[in-house]
Amino acid sequence: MSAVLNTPQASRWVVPAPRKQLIVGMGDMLTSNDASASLVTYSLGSCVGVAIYDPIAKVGGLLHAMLPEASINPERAAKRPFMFVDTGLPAMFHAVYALGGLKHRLIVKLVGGAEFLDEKKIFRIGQRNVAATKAMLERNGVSLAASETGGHESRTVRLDLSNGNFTLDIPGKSPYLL
Amino acid sequence: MKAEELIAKTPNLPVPSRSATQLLQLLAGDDRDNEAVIAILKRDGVLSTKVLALCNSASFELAAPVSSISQAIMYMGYEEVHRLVMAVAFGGALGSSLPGYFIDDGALWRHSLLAAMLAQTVVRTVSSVPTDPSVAYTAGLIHDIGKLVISHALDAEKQHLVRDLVERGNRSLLEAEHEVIGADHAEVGACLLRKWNLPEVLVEAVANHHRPPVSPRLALSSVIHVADMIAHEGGASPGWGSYALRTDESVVEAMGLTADHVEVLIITAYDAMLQVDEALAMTH
Repeated sequence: MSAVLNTPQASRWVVPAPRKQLIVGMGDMLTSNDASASLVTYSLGSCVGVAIYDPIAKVGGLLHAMLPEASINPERAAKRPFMFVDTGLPAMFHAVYALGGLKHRLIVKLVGGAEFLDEKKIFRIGQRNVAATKAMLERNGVSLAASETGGHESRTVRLDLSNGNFTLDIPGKSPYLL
Repeated sequence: MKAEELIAKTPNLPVPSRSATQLLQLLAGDDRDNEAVIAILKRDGVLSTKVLALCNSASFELAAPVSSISQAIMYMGYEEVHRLVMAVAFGGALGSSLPGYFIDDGALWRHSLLAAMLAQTVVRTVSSVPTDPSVAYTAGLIHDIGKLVISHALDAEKQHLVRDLVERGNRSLLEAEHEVIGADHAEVGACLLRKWNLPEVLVEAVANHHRPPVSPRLALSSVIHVADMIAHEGGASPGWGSYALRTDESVVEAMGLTADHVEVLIITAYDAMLQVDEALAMTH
């Protein structure tokens, strides 16, 4: 086997080792300063994904929040602050500061908040998640570097901690950078 | 007619076992007779073995192993046994990938399990539709079964047409598939269920889960409609254009559903999703 791999023809087919992936579950958040890893969260529908990255310290965080406000279930918010935008967002920023990230260097991106086709307000969770995120960032003087919200797709996102590249992956489409 | 044609052209469709069909017929009837349920399970060797294996698995923490179906039902509860029987009947087919919809392996099964659990919750907490929770569970589980047929019919060219209608024509995915193929997954699903002699309450739920009737009264399809929407918002929204759906305003109103209800249901969905993923991890 090794003899085959050593031939020049075979070496052209050697595939680089896959990058380490740290998976952020629904209603959860992860921060890391491991530049060899990516933070990934799957299938953001009406949920929002917020990625923050400090390119100097190479520290990042990724939040997958499901609902805009913790007041709907404060008990749950105490146990799982990352389910909600208004408790999850500040907690993520503080966790990134703790790893050496600085507020003025952070690149912030927002994805998600998909909407059904109708006008009915009851199911407008996506829109409310996006509005809550934007309002909170604005109140705290944080500007968005990029965002892709709304639409009818569920999106998988990936934050590469070596360079801050933020990739979107939608079923049936090629992945692209935001 | 079109639906039957499409079904005939689709290979490898699941056919639920005789015992699964009998259980569903019994359940949809007025009197659920425990003895009859036990008799059906006992006649089916594969099912009996699975029920006993699950009952004796670590999750039930029994002091001594159980060796009879009637004991197993007593310990596990009827609903748990029913969930297992339905998983055996439909899990294989609904777990496969559906290239026509860009649905990955296992993603529709995850969505179906979540919708099933939410259907039970809606019946218990919100809805005024009187339905046995196990019937609601089953309807939630199989509401998208027609997608097996439609996915097969959606070749590359038709996929392109569907996408165009959704992206530029403001159509829902369901409307687009009807325009392109001549039938949608709801009517095809209902047609399949009739073919299998499943009870009419399930046929109605699957046929109307995107357009549930409000008058003269709400039907099981409204419960499934809401459960389906919440399953999408609760994190199990498989495939391309999975939010290109219309919620039915009149049903939401008739059920008295508020924005707070929806948020509470999404939190319920989150908890259910954890259970679903745990159960799926055990089967791998």
